[in-house]
Amino acid sequence: MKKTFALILCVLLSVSLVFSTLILSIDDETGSHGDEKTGDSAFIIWGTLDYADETYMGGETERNASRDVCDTIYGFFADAHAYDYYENFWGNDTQPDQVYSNVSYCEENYNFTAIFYKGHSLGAHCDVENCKFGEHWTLYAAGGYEEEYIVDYLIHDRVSSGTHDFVFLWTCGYGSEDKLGEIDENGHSVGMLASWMGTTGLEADGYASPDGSNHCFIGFDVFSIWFSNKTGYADFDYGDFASLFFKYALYEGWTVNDALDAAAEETHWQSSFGDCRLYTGYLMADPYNPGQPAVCYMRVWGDGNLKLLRGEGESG
Amino acid sequence: MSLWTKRLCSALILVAVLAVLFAYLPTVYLAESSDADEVLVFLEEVVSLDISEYNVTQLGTSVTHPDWLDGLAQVTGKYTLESETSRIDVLFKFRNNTLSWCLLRILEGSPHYLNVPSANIRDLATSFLQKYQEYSGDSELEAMMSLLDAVDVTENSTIAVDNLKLTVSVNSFSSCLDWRYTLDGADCGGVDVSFRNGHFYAFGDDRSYYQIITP
Repeated sequence: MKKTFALILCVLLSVSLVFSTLILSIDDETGSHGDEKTGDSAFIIWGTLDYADETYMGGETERNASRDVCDTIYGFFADAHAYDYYENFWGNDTQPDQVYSNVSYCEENYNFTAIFYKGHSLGAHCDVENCKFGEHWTLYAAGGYEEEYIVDYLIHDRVSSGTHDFVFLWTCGYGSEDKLGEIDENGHSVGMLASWMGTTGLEADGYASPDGSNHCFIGFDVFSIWFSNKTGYADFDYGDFASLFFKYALYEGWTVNDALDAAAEETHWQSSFGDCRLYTGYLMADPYNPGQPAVCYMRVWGDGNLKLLRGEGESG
Repeated sequence: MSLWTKRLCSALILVAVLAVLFAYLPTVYLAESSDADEVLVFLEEVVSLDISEYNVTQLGTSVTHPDWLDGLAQVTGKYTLESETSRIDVLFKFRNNTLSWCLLRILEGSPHYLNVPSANIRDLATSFLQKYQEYSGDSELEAMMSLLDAVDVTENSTIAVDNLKLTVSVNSFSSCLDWRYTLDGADCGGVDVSFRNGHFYAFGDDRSYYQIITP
């Protein structure tokens, strides 16, 4: 009788273990991270292949670092199972028309879209009748300087529902106040923040004073730092900072501010983003004033409390 | 209901309960880990936060072994502390079984303290080091306190005595003090703490693993 009871107990325990692994795998397939639930979200990476200039673009080293870091970030999104649509279009797929059509697609199909771009910036003019803005702003597409650019107002022309809620442009200038842009009464836009996000009213320091807008734009004031630049702490570079930012935002489900702090702490001597040189200022070579480095910053506009891992209570 | 049906139902219920328990056993273990509790001790004994005033919620911890730590474990986690008048997020990391990072983000109201902190950065830093020494029993912190007496903490400055350097960085966001050992002119492990609007903001101590991560 005791043997029979022991046998039944063993069978029950074995069956329980099998069911427990099933519970965990179902949990994993649905992308559950703790209390978070899958949202209808999209994440897109864009990036140029043009790093031809060694002095001001970083050359092949920076190009390879850009490719590798974008691959790593894409992998985090794939592992997180929290996004319905995620693509890494770094390289040849970063074509202006593809960017514009993808903006339309995400606006029409997803309540939340996050964007990461790695590359370069350039001024341009538009041929829109009665445009009063003068200079417009562009991003390098795959081919870079010699080819067609990704133009601010052509992005905005595809924005319909205003669901590009997180835009991180690792490129020069578009985090500075004078390049955030505006939208005129005809819906014609200038500047990357205004064009991608359809707003001009975000808090200037969304890290120190998150505005609760559920919109966050991260960009650089003056020149962006290269992924291949060392932070000075251990063997870390700024590519590590970028990938760790997304890792903490996705794997831990932390806010933009939390992820910035955790990534800064790991890769810098200081223990917060607010204390590290991305926030306090770093020097970069200035192509317009050779020999005179410029003080540059990473800027966080809007809501530093935004979460990239969408869960209950977060609206698009 | 026959005896066999009753037994079958009981067995199925038992299987279901055990399956759920097995499935979530690791989570329960992590949620109650002593590492995470240590953060609350640090907040009370070093930051002088009155934890008893708060409803404390741990939002989970994760354990990783990042390449750069050469096999050492890194435990990462977050707490929220809430009372009727104050809401705080606390981020932390343990490396090499030591609390190596803690950041306190004040989201609403003013924190509940056991002792009201001074508004003076020097007093805040001195108090922090004294309490951190009591908490950790670390005699190296004596030298750091001595260095603090010899520097102006209201502006950017650096002072070095023997192989210990103190760097003070003041900006619109925070005041940061960084005590760091040097070897042949190169920075090594150390302790840093920053204060924002008169409150503790962030702390780091990489002395227990810095040698391991040096390239």
